Amino acid sequence: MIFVRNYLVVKDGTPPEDNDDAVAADPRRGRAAISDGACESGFSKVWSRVLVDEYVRNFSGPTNAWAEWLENAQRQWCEELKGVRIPWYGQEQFERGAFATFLGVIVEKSGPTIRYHAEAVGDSCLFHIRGDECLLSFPLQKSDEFDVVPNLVGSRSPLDEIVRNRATSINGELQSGDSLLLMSDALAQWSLAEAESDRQPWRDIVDLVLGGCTDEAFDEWVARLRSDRGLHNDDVTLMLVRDQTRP
Amino acid sequence: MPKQVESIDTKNPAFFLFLVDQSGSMGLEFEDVPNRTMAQGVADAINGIIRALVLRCSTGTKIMDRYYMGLIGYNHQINLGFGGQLKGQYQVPVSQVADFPLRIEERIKREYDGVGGILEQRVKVEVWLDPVAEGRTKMREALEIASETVADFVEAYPNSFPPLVINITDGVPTDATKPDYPEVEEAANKLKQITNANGNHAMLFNIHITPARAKPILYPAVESVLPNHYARLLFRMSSPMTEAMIHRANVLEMDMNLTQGSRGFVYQGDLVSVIQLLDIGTRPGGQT
Repeated sequence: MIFVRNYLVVKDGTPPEDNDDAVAADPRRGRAAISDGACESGFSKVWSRVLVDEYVRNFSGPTNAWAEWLENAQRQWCEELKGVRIPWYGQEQFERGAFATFLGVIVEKSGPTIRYHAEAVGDSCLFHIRGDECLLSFPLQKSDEFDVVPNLVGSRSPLDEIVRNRATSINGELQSGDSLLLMSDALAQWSLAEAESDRQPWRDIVDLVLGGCTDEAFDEWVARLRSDRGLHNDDVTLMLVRDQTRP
Repeated sequence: MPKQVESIDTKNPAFFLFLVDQSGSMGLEFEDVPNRTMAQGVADAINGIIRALVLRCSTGTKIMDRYYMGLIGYNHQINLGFGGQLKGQYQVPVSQVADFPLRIEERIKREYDGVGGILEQRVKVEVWLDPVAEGRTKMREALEIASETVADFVEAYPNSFPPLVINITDGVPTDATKPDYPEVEEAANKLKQITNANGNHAMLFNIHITPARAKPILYPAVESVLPNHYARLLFRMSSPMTEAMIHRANVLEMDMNLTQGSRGFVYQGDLVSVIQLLDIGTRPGGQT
C-alpha cells in the first residue's frame, strides 16, 4: 500500500492537452510509473500512456518480466491506433513506431522490511529521499549525464533489444519517513544541478508535496523555477511515493 | 551572433523564409546530379526540407504549429512560391503547409542493394515548389519583400526566435547596379536590422550554386577566402551561424571545423551543400 501524489505541468507555450508525459499508479498494489513521450515521435502521447498503464496493471515481478508487460503494451498501442485515420505526415512515424522514456517502481512488504524495485529506460529519474539527503539517484546520477537524445522504449522495437541494451533496474529498502520522487528529465536535471551546487532541493520538494500543494500552486512553483532558477522549459512530471503499510 | 533565449513552440513559432532564384540559368545542370537541372534539384531540396519541417511538428495525427514558412521565387517577377490553396500567402503555419501540398507524386527511388543489384522502391513525394528556370534575377526586389514579410512576422510574434531567410541563387542580381550591387547589399542589411523583442536580429543565409565543377566554399568566417567581388558581397550579406548550428555541423552531422563567426553562406555550392545548409539552418537551436 503506497501513498502517491502526481503533478504534471506542460511546457510553457504548449496547450495542456499536448503534454506527452504520462503517469499511472495503483496505490493498493504498490505500483507507480511515469513516462515521457519523445517530442519528435508520432503517437508518443498514446504510447507513454499505454506504457504506464500496462506496467501498473500487468508487471508481474522483477525476474524476466519486461518482455511480458512490454509486449502487451506494444500490442495495446497498435490496437488503439487501428481505427485512427493517419495523414501522410503520420505514416512514416506510425511505421517507425512511437518512443518514450520509462520509469516504474513497485513497493512491497518483504517480511519486516519494505522493499522497492525500479525499472528504467532513459532519463526520467527516481530519487530515494531520507530527510535532507538523496540516498540514491537512478538511472542517472549527475546533471551533465542528460543527453539531448536519451535511451527510449519503442512501440515497435524488438523486445530483447530493449531489455538487453536499454533497460536497467535497481532495488532498495524504504524506512519509515522515506520518500521516492519520480521526475521527468527537466525537473530531474534541475534537482541534480541544485544538489551539485550545494542547494539540496530534496526536503523542500517533499515538504511542498506533503504540505498539500494544489495543482495550481505547483504550476506557480514550476513557473518560478523556469523564470528565476534556470529550470529548462519542458514538460514537468513529479510523482511522490511513500509507503503506507506501516502503522 | 544572436543570443539564444527564445523557445520555439506553438506560442512562439519560428519563421523560415526561402527565396529561390528562378532565372533562366537555373536551367543548367548541377555537375554532380546528371539529368536534373539546378532548378529541379533546388526544388527537390526545398520540398525535402519543407517535408522534414512538417514531420518535426507531427504528433502522428496532427501538426503542432511550431513553425511558419514562406516561399518566394524570383526571376523577372516575384513569384509567391506556395500555390494551390496556399496561393498568395507569405507566411504559412506548418499545419497548413502539411495539409495543402500542390500535389503528392509517386516516384521510383533507385538504390544500390549492396550485392550488385538495384533496389527500386515506390515512394510518395509531397511537392510544394515546382522548378522554374526562365527570365532574369530580381534579387533586390525579392529581398525587399522578404524584409517586409519578416518585419510583419516579428510584429505578430515579437518573442519568437528571430526569423531566418535562406536565399538560393546561381548568379548575380539584374535589378541592382553593377559591379557592386549596393541596392542588394542595402536590402540585405535592412532585413538583418530587424530585431525581435529581445534585440536579436533576423538572419539571412545565402547559398550560391554553380553548374561548373568547383569546390564549394562552405561557411567561411572571413571575407578574404572568397575568390571574387560578388562572393565577398554575398559573404557580407550573410549572417553568422548560431552556436547550435555550428555544434550540429561540427559534431552531430558532418565532419567540419566551424568556429564562432562562420557565416551561413556557401559559395559555388553543389546540390549536397544546398541540402546541408537547409538542414543546418532550420535547426537554429531555440529550445524546442
